[in-house]
Amino acid sequence: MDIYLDNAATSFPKPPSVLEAMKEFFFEIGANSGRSAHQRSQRASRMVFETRESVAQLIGASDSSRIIFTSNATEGLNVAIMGIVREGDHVITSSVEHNSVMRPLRYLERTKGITVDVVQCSSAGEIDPDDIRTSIKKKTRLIVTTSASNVVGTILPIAEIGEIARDHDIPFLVDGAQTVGCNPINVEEDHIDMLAFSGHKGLLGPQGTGCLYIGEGIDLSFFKLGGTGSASESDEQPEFLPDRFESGTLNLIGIAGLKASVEFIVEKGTDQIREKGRQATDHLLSGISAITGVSVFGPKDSARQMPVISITTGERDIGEVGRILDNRFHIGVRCGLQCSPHCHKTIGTFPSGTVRISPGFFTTTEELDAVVTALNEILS
Amino acid sequence: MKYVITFHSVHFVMKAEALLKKEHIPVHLIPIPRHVSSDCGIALEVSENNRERIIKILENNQFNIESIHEIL
Repeated sequence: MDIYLDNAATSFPKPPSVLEAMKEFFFEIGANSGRSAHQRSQRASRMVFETRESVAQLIGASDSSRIIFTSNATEGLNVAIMGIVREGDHVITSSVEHNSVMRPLRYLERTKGITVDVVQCSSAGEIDPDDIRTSIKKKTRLIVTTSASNVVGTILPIAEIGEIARDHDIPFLVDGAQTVGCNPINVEEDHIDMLAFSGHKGLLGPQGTGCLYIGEGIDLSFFKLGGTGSASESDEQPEFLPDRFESGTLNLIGIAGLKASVEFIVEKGTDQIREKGRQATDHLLSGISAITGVSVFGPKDSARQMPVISITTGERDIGEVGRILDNRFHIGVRCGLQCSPHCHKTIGTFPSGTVRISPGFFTTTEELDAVVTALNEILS
Repeated sequence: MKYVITFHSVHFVMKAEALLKKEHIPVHLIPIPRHVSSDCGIALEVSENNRERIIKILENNQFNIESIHEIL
């Protein structure tokens, strides 16, 4: 029996209904969506439409045509950042961002002469929204932050930042990779203009799926042009959503799985899922904090964080600890920088990184106890 | 007499179909007739006696109808 505690990277296991839906698409539907008029194609189009509606409902978007399918959260973040920032613009972000935000911004600094203010977070990864407010300049074109750190789980005050962005009429982009599906979010109430998220993490869907919500009034330049099945007589890319951003055949089998996984999430309820995550966090925190030689990072408070716990192990090399967890105890965790060097600089664990333990929806209390016992044994 | 209602995106054809089904109004999805558009998509086919009601429902739901055509 192995224990999977790397859900912040991708969730495992998935609800069996996800595979069932993918099998149904594979064997029963199989045709392209949005292109032909035959029955199979209609079924595919209907499936894609229904997935969009479910996703829209989950994130509080009233118009599902404003949800576009991407291959992951990273793609959505790239489409949003590259599509909105112009030469000479100013962008505000936080010091706990993933490379999927930092790398596009640094690239635009080099190539388009944009300027970036990285607002410093506390050593627990917490941000003061006032620091965002005071960083706003005349040329600020975008505020982009994560909804929760993928290293220490710290939840950022998205609604407060959204309000600041709205008051200053600045588009607000949120990286929802760590929270969508396991913490309630509402793009309209939280003043989120763009929300990028993956389908394979908290949503429990297949890899290769993701979404980008593009709010009303947000004008993004496109990132790929081509066949959309619509306005085919024209050489020009259509203006209307979702077609404008969905050239080429979609990952239909993945979207079929995503539909089932979103339905699973809606049935369980994000409030209940959040509560389950809090219980897992409390359980892990109390067990791990008692181990001699372990330092825990982040808020250390389940009310202020997602179920993502980062630790260091004193003199013991974290890579070695991870290897022993895997080889001797068959427990999968993630060691290192977790693609977020800025976050590690913020919490003081750069460049060696941390051991990240991230339970998921299906993780049991026994599994949490097993990792605590294993760490105790390794470090004693 | 029948009518065909076209939309810019298949997304809205599907949305219209779902909405009208909920209202128990029979609709058919058909390939867009060649004399209406050279597009490869699908459109809603509706009967004359439902036409006004359907248009009203779609307009009340902020649908952007591309065009409405009479067909035999």
